[in-house]
Amino acid sequence: MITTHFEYIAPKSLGEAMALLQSPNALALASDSRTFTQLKNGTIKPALLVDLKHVRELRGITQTSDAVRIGAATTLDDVLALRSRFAALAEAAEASGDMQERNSATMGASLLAPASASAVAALIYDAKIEVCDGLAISSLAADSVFAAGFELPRSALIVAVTLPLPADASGSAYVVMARPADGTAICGVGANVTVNAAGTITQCRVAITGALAFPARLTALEAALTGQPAAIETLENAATHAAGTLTCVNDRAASAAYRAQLTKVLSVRAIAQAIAKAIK
Amino acid sequence: MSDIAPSKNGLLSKIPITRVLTGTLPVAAPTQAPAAVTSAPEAAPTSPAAKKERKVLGKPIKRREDAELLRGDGKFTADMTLPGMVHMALFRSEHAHARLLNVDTSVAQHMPGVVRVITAADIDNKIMPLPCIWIPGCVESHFPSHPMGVPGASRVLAQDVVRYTGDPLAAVVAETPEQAHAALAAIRVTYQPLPVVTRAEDALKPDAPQLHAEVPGNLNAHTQYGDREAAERAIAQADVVIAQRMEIPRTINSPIEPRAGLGQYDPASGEYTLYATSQSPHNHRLLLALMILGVPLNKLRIVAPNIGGSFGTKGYIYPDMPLVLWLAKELGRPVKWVDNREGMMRSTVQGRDQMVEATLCGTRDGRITGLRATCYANLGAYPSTIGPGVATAMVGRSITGAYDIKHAFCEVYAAFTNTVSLGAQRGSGRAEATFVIERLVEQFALEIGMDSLEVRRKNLIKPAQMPFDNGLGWKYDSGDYPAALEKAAQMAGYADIAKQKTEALTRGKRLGVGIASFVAISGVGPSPRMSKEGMLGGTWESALVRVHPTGEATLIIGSKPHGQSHETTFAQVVAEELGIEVNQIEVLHSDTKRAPFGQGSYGSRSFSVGGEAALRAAQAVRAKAVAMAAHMFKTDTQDIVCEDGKLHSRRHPEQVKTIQEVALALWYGWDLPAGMEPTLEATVFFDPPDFNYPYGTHIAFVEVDEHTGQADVVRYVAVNDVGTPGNAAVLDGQVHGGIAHGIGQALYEAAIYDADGQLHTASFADYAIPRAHNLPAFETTRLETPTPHTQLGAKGAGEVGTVGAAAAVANAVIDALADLGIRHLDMPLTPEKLWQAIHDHNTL
Repeated sequence: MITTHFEYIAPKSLGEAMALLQSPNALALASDSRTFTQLKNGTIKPALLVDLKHVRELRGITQTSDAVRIGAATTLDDVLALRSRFAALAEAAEASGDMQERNSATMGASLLAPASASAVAALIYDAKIEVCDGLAISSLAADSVFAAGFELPRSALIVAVTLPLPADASGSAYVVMARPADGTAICGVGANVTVNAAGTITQCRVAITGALAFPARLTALEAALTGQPAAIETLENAATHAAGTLTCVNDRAASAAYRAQLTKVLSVRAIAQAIAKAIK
Repeated sequence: MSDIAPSKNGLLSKIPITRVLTGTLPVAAPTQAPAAVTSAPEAAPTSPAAKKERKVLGKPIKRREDAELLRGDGKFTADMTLPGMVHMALFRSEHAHARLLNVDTSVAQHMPGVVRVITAADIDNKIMPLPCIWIPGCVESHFPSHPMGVPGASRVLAQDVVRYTGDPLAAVVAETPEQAHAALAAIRVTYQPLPVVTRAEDALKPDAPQLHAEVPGNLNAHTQYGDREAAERAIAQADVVIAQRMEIPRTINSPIEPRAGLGQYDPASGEYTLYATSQSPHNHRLLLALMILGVPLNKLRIVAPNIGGSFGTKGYIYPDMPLVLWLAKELGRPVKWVDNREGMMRSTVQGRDQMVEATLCGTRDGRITGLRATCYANLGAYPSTIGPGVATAMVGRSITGAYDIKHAFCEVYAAFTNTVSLGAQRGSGRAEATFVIERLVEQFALEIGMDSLEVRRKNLIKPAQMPFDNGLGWKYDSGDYPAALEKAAQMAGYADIAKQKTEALTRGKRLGVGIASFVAISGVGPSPRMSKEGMLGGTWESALVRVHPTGEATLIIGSKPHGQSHETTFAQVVAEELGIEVNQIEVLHSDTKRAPFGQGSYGSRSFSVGGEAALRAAQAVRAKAVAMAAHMFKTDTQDIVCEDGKLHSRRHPEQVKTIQEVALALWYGWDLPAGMEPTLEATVFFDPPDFNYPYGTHIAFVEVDEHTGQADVVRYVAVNDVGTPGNAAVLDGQVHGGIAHGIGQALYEAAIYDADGQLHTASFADYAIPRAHNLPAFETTRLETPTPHTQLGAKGAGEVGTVGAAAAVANAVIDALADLGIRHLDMPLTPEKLWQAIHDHNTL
């Protein structure tokens, strides 16, 4: 039960939203279930909830010749429309909730979720994340954003995520082992791979969530595969080696050893699926 | 009734009154046909079980309940509002075991909107402790004392000591629920922590923390079933002996609707009313009136509106029930309490939780000759309403499952621990027993190198052995257990399974196939037996059938639906018997003020016992209608045919009355046979002569991913025999839900308490139940062997899906890993547990 009394305002413009967020004890609401849970159990007690769902500048997907820009308040279900070019993004969105949840959950909030699947998509597509702190909008590289955990100041917002269009002959995939209770990733791996006509991996980005403290790229694995033939033995050897070097999370949901195993297996599967799509 | 169109234009507009008052209406003196009146009803048996062709009963007609529920029009307790209503919230202990040094409510009392804050001292000698009414027949038993002389007790609000995290120790009443909850945060409790014990086995150790002064060694009960010496002799002499320790984890009941209550007191009449999520309104009324509040039964009314699932939990008495009633009188205002999910998970009875050491023995050629099991049941902090019996008798008497095992013995040690009190969960006791025997059968088969299907063929009880005394207290009534096995094997394509396993391996999946044969002992009865079982309760059920002078009927039942479609299936019984259309039969229930005394719903008894009461009441009505028609036609009852809602004379087929016309004639009462009372209605109280014994065989197909340990149920075949069906679609629904429950237990569910007794799974973020995408499309079919105990022939149906499901799925998972040398794994069979097992065995 929500016992805190708060004001609720759903502004229509970014300027309005940013102004409201400057008021004391204001909190942005982006349809994330974590906020509702925290409201119910009393761990947050905002005086004002600023619902971002109707903010014009935050909604919708726009495509240019070389990139796709996803407004932060775009629902994860709307993101599924990008499946043909961004398969891993769509698969990560699907893994983030059922249809009912996807119809409410937003792209922006999903980047901030624990063990975020969208973060993996942002990392493997080399996304730029636009953050507004009230004064200016800055464009941050996904790589830098997640390195130490992605947290925003209370009065800042994610405005949009921009993904460069992947090269031709590339494919991507996201595979995950999740906690059955709430769908949180124990280990989720995404891969975005380009394969040339000779069957050589020319570009490879692999990222992981859930298994490590924060979402991160598996750069050693990427390096080991780039320039190599797209063969299953290559993948397995490289993934086994890469998983062995990681320090995985150990908690009630899964042991570190199991997460290391999943890192290995799911890396292989994600990359293999990405390759299959790339050479199709 | 073709001549009574559905009523749309007012009740009287459709009644051909003139036909009743003129024409064939007899005007002769009533002395003409006295013999007919007292003669037995139709000679030919009309029982549905005996009937070849049923017109309504068993048909998959749509649930009448659905329209209002799907539209959101269904009223649940939480939807109810009464003028002047205030809201109660309960302060629950944060410690699993602690002495209460101080409970300071002074700040909370002055919080905005707070009307009253009470602790144990405020209700001392005003609200008696909650009684336990099932004291199992025992070698030994110990209970906390109760002032009313019944053995079990748990205080409504904890005094001096709290015994689980969630133990209520104070109640706040405020103008709004938010204010009540806000005030909870202002209550300051000083605890002196005491040592904690959360597992039954540990609680029985000599140095274990003691929960109750009256219960030495935390031993609630030690019960025994069967012949220990014979079982031990069989084991000592056997060629093959299988021993296995198994832990059946505790489950948290997860109905959609948490519990709720709304208490009201009318000072003018002195009457209390409790609107509540109660599976057993009549039983709860008796317990509250007689043992808890000390008020006359006719000054306490219980109304249970729609209930959003229960699975056993809402049949228990909880502290909130007397509290809202007592506070309503104290405050002169209605008091409402609505639990939330976390509260429910921390305080509503939990299920299963048995540690079992079992030994099975047999011959090399596949004959099982003996079984011995020792169970340690974790009862939780207090003896719940019927928890001690559920955890002992329902397991111990069922331990041989569907098999003919000559020498069997089971003993149960039930112990108190610092966890939520144990109670029923769908299939309670029987599911645990089935799990034990079915796991042992699999291991036995592996040991002797025989397919477990063949072992089951050899050991299942045969139809010719019915009725079969299992030597542990059950007398299985009827059925063809091998037929269910063969049917399931055929549906599963069992002969072809090796090929399927090979095919799965090409996809990197280990396919396992698991069988479970089971008996889902149901119905409960007769009442005299309960005295021997130590259960303070009757097992009869009631029904009142009233045919209106306008042709419709009302059926009032003593049992209580909490999702099972009583309003549809019970109407089908009456419709079949009287020929009145289902949509013309109103089914009333769940209000102690307007129903005859009843018992409610538990142990799959509603239809198997209450349905028989409805049938018998309908039969009595039919017999009266036949007698009346004979009188009207000036003939004898043997001449009357009652069919499709009409009564006609065989000899003079032109003489026809609808049942409505007969009911109207009985309403006027101008000319009745001698001794006949006016109106067409009858009330029946039916006490079943025994339990009834639905059974079946389920086969689960599970694919295990060798690299991640992920187990997916990819096929599920279920053959059940619940005797005469009430409604085939409702039955399928029951079976599907039941299977989901079993799959949940096998793969996902476990209540996790840490060493301090903190529950780590008190939300759906941490406690996993299966979701639709975790379940395959179930393949189900039915056999139909009516129970000989009733004319209706229905056996319990609410639990057949669950009783064998966890065993079938666990057997399948372990079958998938059997070639690695894995013989047993405890549930839940989570991916990490399976991967770890595969990993360990691969590297050996």
